Amino acid sequence: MKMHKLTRFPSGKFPQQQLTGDPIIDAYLKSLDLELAGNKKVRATALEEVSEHLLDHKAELENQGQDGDAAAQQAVSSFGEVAKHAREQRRGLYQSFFKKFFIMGFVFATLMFFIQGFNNQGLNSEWRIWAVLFVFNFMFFGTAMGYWSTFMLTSVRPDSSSSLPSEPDAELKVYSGRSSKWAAIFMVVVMLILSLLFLAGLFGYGLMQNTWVGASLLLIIIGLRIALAALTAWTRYRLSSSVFSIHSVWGKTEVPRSQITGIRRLPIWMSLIRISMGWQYQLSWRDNNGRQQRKIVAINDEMKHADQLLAALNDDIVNGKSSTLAQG
Amino acid sequence: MMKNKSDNDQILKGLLDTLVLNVLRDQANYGFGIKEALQMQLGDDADVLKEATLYPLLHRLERRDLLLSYRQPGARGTPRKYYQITSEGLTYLETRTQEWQKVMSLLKRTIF
Repeated sequence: MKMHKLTRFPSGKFPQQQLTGDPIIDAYLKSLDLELAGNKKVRATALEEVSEHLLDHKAELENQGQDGDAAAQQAVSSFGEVAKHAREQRRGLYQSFFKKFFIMGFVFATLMFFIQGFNNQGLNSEWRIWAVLFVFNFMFFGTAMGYWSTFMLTSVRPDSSSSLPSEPDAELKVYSGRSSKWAAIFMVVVMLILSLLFLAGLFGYGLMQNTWVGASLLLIIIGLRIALAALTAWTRYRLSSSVFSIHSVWGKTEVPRSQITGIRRLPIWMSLIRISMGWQYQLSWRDNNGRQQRKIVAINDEMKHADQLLAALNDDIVNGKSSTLAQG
Repeated sequence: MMKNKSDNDQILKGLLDTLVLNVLRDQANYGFGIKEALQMQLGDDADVLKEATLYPLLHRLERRDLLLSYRQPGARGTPRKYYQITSEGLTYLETRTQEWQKVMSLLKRTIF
């Protein structure tokens, strides 16, 4: 059985928006799609890059005098076998899945260990029961979270209005869409309710009254942190030609682009421990007094134009470093 | 002979990383543009980088945080994926360039 078919949930159909109108290129894309892993959006992202390449190559060959069909055929032949490309895409996704499986499995199993193990009955249970529960939670959450984040999540497509700001008045706006905000409201409500349940349990009321004090306190903190992290959905970033602005529910920060010295993505385990919505980046810059400042900013793939923001900030840093290396 | 082929593949793999990062040193580019830039630089030797190898290479460099990618609307209205070198990529490129220069120096003093 081809294992990648298990990742093509819920639909294994070809993403029709990827059709180019050229029958030869479309036939290649359809063959490639059959061998790719991931849901329709993940596969569409992979196919987009391939179709752009094939169309560019076809256009170049047509400019050199070839007719459309011959150019398309040559572009497809030159690009290589479907099996080879698909194998590379699957390998990358599988590596990503296993990495997330282990990290998320461990984190969630540990969390559930506190919830399930540390109640009055749990303290008296055999260690074998705890071990079985830990392994079960590790496998369940590792698989579920790893699968979802690898084979179902993809970044938001840029719209036609977005482009990296190069002109003085141009501004790039990065923000979460409406669906992300609704999801955040849901998360805030659920986490606040859970935190209140555990808080009530601390005082001997409700469903969580039998939970160990330490676990209750930990879960109250985690619940509140997740609720606060969900407010990231209302964080907006603006990038003009000179300033990077961060607008969040906690306030506004403006950083001159010329003073930014680094933007580094935190490791996945650190992002999980910090309980954030999306990837956490450490932004570094020198203030007007020359002192190094740092701020953690959350940028997730659900934010529109997030990848362009990171590219623009990275460009500022690389150009600064490149100048330094050239002078050295 | 199979071991020689494997050794050559490894050497080529290391060289291709450097060539691609070098193309992206000064400005971001998309897959086909990178291929074109290499073709201009390498001329008849351009077939050292096959299209089948280019995108897996770009994705591998991205996983290692030596490149990042972003999408911008292209001329056809569909998003085009661009690749941009990162600080880590720049440092890696500098290191690899120095290593290759050392290799060239050794070869020039001995074999060539």
